[in-house]
Amino acid sequence: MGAMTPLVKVAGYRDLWLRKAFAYTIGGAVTSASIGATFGLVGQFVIPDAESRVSWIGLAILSLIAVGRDTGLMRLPINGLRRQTDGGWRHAFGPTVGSFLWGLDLGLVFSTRLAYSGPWLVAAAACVSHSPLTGSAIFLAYWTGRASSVWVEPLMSTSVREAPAVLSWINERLSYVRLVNVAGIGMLVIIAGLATGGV
Amino acid sequence: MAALAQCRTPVRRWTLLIIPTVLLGITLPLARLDVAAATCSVAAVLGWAQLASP
Repeated sequence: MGAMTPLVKVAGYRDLWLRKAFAYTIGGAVTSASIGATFGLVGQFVIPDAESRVSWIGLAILSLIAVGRDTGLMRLPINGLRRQTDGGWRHAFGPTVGSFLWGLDLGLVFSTRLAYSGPWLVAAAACVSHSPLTGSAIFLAYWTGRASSVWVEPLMSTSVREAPAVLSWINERLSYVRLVNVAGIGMLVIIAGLATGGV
Repeated sequence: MAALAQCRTPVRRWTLLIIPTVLLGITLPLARLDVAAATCSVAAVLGWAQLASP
Protein backbone atom coordinates (compact mmCIF):
# COMPACT_ATOMS: atom_id res chain seq x y z
CA MET A 1 0.00 0.00 0.00
CA GLY A 2 2.72 2.45 0.99
CA ALA A 3 4.75 1.67 -2.12
CA MET A 4 2.30 3.01 -4.69
CA THR A 5 -0.12 5.30 -2.87
CA PRO A 6 2.08 8.42 -2.56
CA LEU A 7 2.11 8.69 -6.38
CA VAL A 8 -1.55 9.65 -6.56
CA LYS A 9 -0.83 12.77 -4.51
CA VAL A 10 1.96 13.99 -6.77
CA ALA A 11 0.90 16.25 -9.66
CA GLY A 12 1.21 14.42 -12.98
CA TYR A 13 1.56 10.99 -11.44
CA ARG A 14 -2.11 10.12 -11.10
CA ASP A 15 -2.10 8.11 -14.36
CA LEU A 16 0.94 6.13 -13.24
CA TRP A 17 -0.71 5.37 -9.91
CA LEU A 18 -3.89 4.25 -11.72
CA ARG A 19 -1.89 1.94 -14.01
CA LYS A 20 -0.03 0.47 -11.05
CA ALA A 21 -3.16 -0.01 -8.97
CA PHE A 22 -4.98 -1.67 -11.91
CA ALA A 23 -1.98 -3.87 -12.73
CA TYR A 24 -1.68 -4.93 -9.08
CA THR A 25 -5.41 -5.66 -8.79
CA ILE A 26 -5.62 -7.58 -12.09
CA GLY A 27 -2.47 -9.58 -11.28
CA GLY A 28 -3.86 -10.64 -7.91
CA ALA A 29 -7.29 -11.39 -9.38
CA VAL A 30 -5.76 -13.77 -11.96
CA THR A 31 -3.89 -15.88 -9.39
CA SER A 32 -6.61 -15.68 -6.71
CA ALA A 33 -9.29 -16.85 -9.15
CA SER A 34 -7.04 -19.74 -10.24
CA ILE A 35 -6.22 -20.78 -6.67
CA GLY A 36 -9.92 -20.59 -5.71
CA ALA A 37 -10.96 -22.69 -8.72
CA THR A 38 -8.31 -25.26 -7.76
CA PHE A 39 -9.61 -25.52 -4.19
CA GLY A 40 -13.18 -25.78 -5.49
CA LEU A 41 -12.13 -28.55 -7.86
CA VAL A 42 -10.31 -30.40 -5.06
CA GLY A 43 -13.47 -30.16 -2.94
CA GLN A 44 -15.56 -31.46 -5.83
CA PHE A 45 -13.41 -34.59 -6.12
CA VAL A 46 -12.43 -35.17 -2.48
CA ILE A 47 -15.66 -34.38 -0.62
CA PRO A 48 -18.57 -36.67 -1.58
CA ASP A 49 -21.93 -34.93 -2.14
CA ALA A 50 -23.43 -36.92 0.71
CA GLU A 51 -20.84 -35.49 3.11
CA SER A 52 -21.64 -31.85 2.34
CA ARG A 53 -23.20 -31.33 5.80
CA VAL A 54 -20.18 -32.92 7.49
CA SER A 55 -17.81 -30.67 5.52
CA TRP A 56 -19.68 -27.53 6.69
CA ILE A 57 -19.40 -28.80 10.29
CA GLY A 58 -15.67 -29.33 9.65
CA LEU A 59 -15.40 -25.73 8.41
CA ALA A 60 -17.14 -24.50 11.57
CA ILE A 61 -14.69 -26.46 13.76
CA LEU A 62 -11.72 -25.10 11.77
CA SER A 63 -13.13 -21.59 12.20
CA LEU A 64 -13.36 -22.02 15.98
CA ILE A 65 -9.74 -23.22 16.05
CA ALA A 66 -8.80 -20.15 13.96
CA VAL A 67 -10.54 -17.85 16.47
CA GLY A 68 -8.43 -19.47 19.22
CA ARG A 69 -5.29 -18.99 17.17
CA ASP A 70 -5.94 -15.40 16.06
CA THR A 71 -6.91 -14.23 19.55
CA GLY A 72 -3.70 -15.70 20.96
CA LEU A 73 -5.43 -18.41 23.01
CA MET A 74 -3.72 -21.15 20.95
CA ARG A 75 -0.29 -21.25 19.36
CA LEU A 76 -0.49 -22.70 15.86
CA PRO A 77 2.17 -22.12 13.17
CA ILE A 78 -0.13 -21.28 10.24
CA ASN A 79 1.52 -18.18 8.83
CA GLY A 80 2.29 -19.56 5.37
CA LEU A 81 5.71 -19.04 3.81
CA ARG A 82 8.10 -16.74 5.63
CA ARG A 83 8.68 -14.41 2.71
CA GLN A 84 7.33 -11.16 1.31
CA THR A 85 6.94 -9.83 -2.22
CA ASP A 86 10.16 -8.82 -3.94
CA GLY A 87 10.52 -5.03 -3.85
CA GLY A 88 13.18 -5.31 -6.55
CA TRP A 89 10.61 -6.20 -9.22
CA ARG A 90 9.63 -2.54 -9.49
CA HIS A 91 13.20 -1.63 -10.45
CA ALA A 92 13.79 -4.70 -12.64
CA PHE A 93 10.55 -4.61 -14.67
CA GLY A 94 9.27 -1.05 -14.31
CA PRO A 95 6.42 0.27 -12.15
CA THR A 96 3.44 -1.24 -14.02
CA VAL A 97 4.84 -4.73 -14.70
CA GLY A 98 6.40 -4.74 -11.22
CA SER A 99 3.00 -3.98 -9.67
CA PHE A 100 1.39 -6.69 -11.80
CA LEU A 101 3.97 -9.24 -10.58
CA TRP A 102 3.48 -8.00 -7.03
CA GLY A 103 -0.27 -8.63 -7.43
CA LEU A 104 0.35 -12.06 -9.01
CA ASP A 105 2.48 -13.02 -6.01
CA LEU A 106 0.09 -11.75 -3.33
CA GLY A 107 -2.87 -13.24 -5.21
CA LEU A 108 -1.33 -16.66 -4.70
CA VAL A 109 -2.29 -16.02 -1.06
CA PHE A 110 -0.06 -18.66 0.52
CA SER A 111 3.21 -17.64 -1.12
CA THR A 112 3.82 -14.83 1.38
CA ARG A 113 3.61 -14.51 5.13
CA LEU A 114 0.06 -14.22 6.50
CA ALA A 115 -1.05 -12.10 9.42
CA TYR A 116 -4.07 -14.21 10.36
CA SER A 117 -5.47 -17.65 9.65
CA GLY A 118 -8.33 -16.31 7.51
CA PRO A 119 -6.86 -17.44 4.16
CA TRP A 120 -6.86 -21.07 5.33
CA LEU A 121 -10.55 -20.78 6.12
CA VAL A 122 -11.18 -19.18 2.73
CA ALA A 123 -9.43 -22.19 1.16
CA ALA A 124 -11.53 -24.57 3.27
CA ALA A 125 -14.71 -22.69 2.29
CA ALA A 126 -13.75 -22.96 -1.40
CA CYS A 127 -13.31 -26.73 -0.95
CA VAL A 128 -16.64 -27.03 0.87
CA SER A 129 -18.35 -25.09 -1.94
CA HIS A 130 -17.83 -28.17 -4.17
CA SER A 131 -17.53 -25.93 -7.20
CA PRO A 132 -14.55 -24.40 -9.05
CA LEU A 133 -16.72 -21.41 -9.99
CA THR A 134 -17.83 -20.70 -6.42
CA GLY A 135 -14.30 -21.38 -5.13
CA SER A 136 -13.00 -18.87 -7.65
CA ALA A 137 -15.63 -16.30 -6.59
CA ILE A 138 -14.73 -16.78 -2.90
CA PHE A 139 -11.04 -16.18 -3.58
CA LEU A 140 -11.81 -13.20 -5.85
CA ALA A 141 -13.83 -11.71 -2.97
CA TYR A 142 -10.88 -12.36 -0.66
CA TRP A 143 -8.57 -10.58 -3.11
CA THR A 144 -11.02 -7.67 -3.49
CA GLY A 145 -10.88 -7.19 0.28
CA ARG A 146 -7.13 -7.41 0.28
CA ALA A 147 -6.65 -4.99 -2.64
CA SER A 148 -9.23 -2.51 -1.31
CA SER A 149 -6.67 -0.84 0.93
CA VAL A 150 -4.64 0.22 -2.12
CA TRP A 151 -7.71 1.89 -3.68
CA VAL A 152 -8.99 3.50 -0.50
CA GLU A 153 -5.72 4.75 0.95
CA PRO A 154 -5.45 7.82 -1.34
CA LEU A 155 -8.71 9.06 0.22
CA MET A 156 -7.08 8.91 3.61
CA SER A 157 -4.35 11.46 3.10
CA THR A 158 -4.34 14.95 1.66
CA SER A 159 -0.70 15.06 0.56
CA VAL A 160 2.21 12.79 -0.28
CA ARG A 161 3.89 13.79 2.98
CA GLU A 162 1.00 12.31 4.90
CA ALA A 163 1.38 8.75 3.51
CA PRO A 164 3.81 7.50 6.20
CA ALA A 165 1.54 8.99 8.88
CA VAL A 166 -1.42 7.07 7.43
CA LEU A 167 0.51 3.80 7.62
CA SER A 168 1.42 4.57 11.25
CA TRP A 169 -2.22 5.42 11.94
CA ILE A 170 -3.26 2.01 10.59
CA ASN A 171 -0.55 0.22 12.59
CA GLU A 172 -1.87 1.88 15.75
CA ARG A 173 -5.29 0.35 15.02
CA LEU A 174 -4.27 -3.25 14.52
CA SER A 175 -6.38 -4.29 17.52
CA TYR A 176 -9.43 -3.15 15.53
CA VAL A 177 -8.21 -5.13 12.50
CA ARG A 178 -7.80 -8.21 14.76
CA LEU A 179 -11.32 -7.70 16.15
CA VAL A 180 -12.83 -7.47 12.64
CA ASN A 181 -10.87 -10.57 11.59
CA VAL A 182 -12.24 -12.58 14.53
CA ALA A 183 -15.77 -11.24 13.87
CA GLY A 184 -15.43 -12.38 10.24
CA ILE A 185 -14.38 -15.87 11.32
CA GLY A 186 -17.27 -15.95 13.81
CA MET A 187 -19.60 -15.07 10.95
CA LEU A 188 -18.24 -18.05 9.03
CA VAL A 189 -19.28 -20.30 11.94
CA ILE A 190 -22.82 -18.87 11.69
CA ILE A 191 -22.86 -19.37 7.90
CA ALA A 192 -21.76 -23.00 8.40
CA GLY A 193 -24.57 -23.39 10.94
CA LEU A 194 -27.10 -22.00 8.45
CA ALA A 195 -25.76 -24.25 5.68
CA THR A 196 -26.23 -27.34 7.83
CA GLY A 197 -29.64 -26.18 9.03
CA GLY A 198 -28.33 -25.98 12.59
CA VAL A 199 -28.96 -22.24 13.12
CA MET B 1 -9.04 26.06 5.68
CA ALA B 2 -6.14 24.16 7.25
CA ALA B 3 -8.30 23.39 10.28
CA LEU B 4 -11.02 22.05 8.00
CA ALA B 5 -8.50 19.80 6.22
CA GLN B 6 -7.23 18.56 9.60
CA CYS B 7 -10.80 17.80 10.62
CA ARG B 8 -11.51 15.88 7.41
CA THR B 9 -8.39 13.73 7.60
CA PRO B 10 -9.50 11.46 10.50
CA VAL B 11 -12.91 11.05 8.86
CA ARG B 12 -11.25 10.02 5.59
CA ARG B 13 -8.95 7.64 7.42
CA TRP B 14 -11.87 5.83 8.98
CA THR B 15 -13.09 5.01 5.45
CA LEU B 16 -10.70 2.07 5.38
CA LEU B 17 -12.00 0.72 8.67
CA ILE B 18 -15.66 1.18 7.74
CA ILE B 19 -15.47 -1.18 4.71
CA PRO B 20 -15.29 -4.48 6.66
CA THR B 21 -17.84 -3.28 9.22
CA VAL B 22 -20.39 -2.70 6.44
CA LEU B 23 -19.57 -6.10 4.91
CA LEU B 24 -20.01 -7.83 8.27
CA GLY B 25 -23.31 -6.01 8.69
CA ILE B 26 -24.74 -7.34 5.44
CA THR B 27 -23.36 -10.89 5.80
CA LEU B 28 -25.98 -12.32 8.13
CA PRO B 29 -29.04 -11.16 6.12
CA LEU B 30 -27.21 -12.34 2.99
CA ALA B 31 -26.54 -15.78 4.54
CA ARG B 32 -30.29 -16.34 4.87
CA LEU B 33 -30.68 -15.72 1.15
CA ASP B 34 -27.53 -17.20 -0.36
CA VAL B 35 -24.81 -19.03 1.59
CA ALA B 36 -22.22 -18.69 -1.22
CA ALA B 37 -22.70 -14.90 -1.43
CA ALA B 38 -22.38 -14.60 2.36
CA THR B 39 -19.18 -16.69 2.25
CA CYS B 40 -17.81 -14.29 -0.39
CA SER B 41 -18.67 -11.35 1.88
CA VAL B 42 -16.78 -12.94 4.80
CA ALA B 43 -13.86 -13.79 2.48
CA ALA B 44 -13.62 -10.08 1.55
CA VAL B 45 -13.48 -9.18 5.26
CA LEU B 46 -10.75 -11.78 5.89
CA GLY B 47 -8.83 -10.44 2.88
CA TRP B 48 -9.14 -6.91 4.20
CA ALA B 49 -7.78 -8.06 7.59
CA GLN B 50 -4.52 -9.09 5.91
CA LEU B 51 -3.89 -5.35 5.98
CA ALA B 52 -2.05 -6.28 9.17
CA SER B 53 0.45 -8.37 7.17
CA PRO B 54 4.05 -7.57 8.03
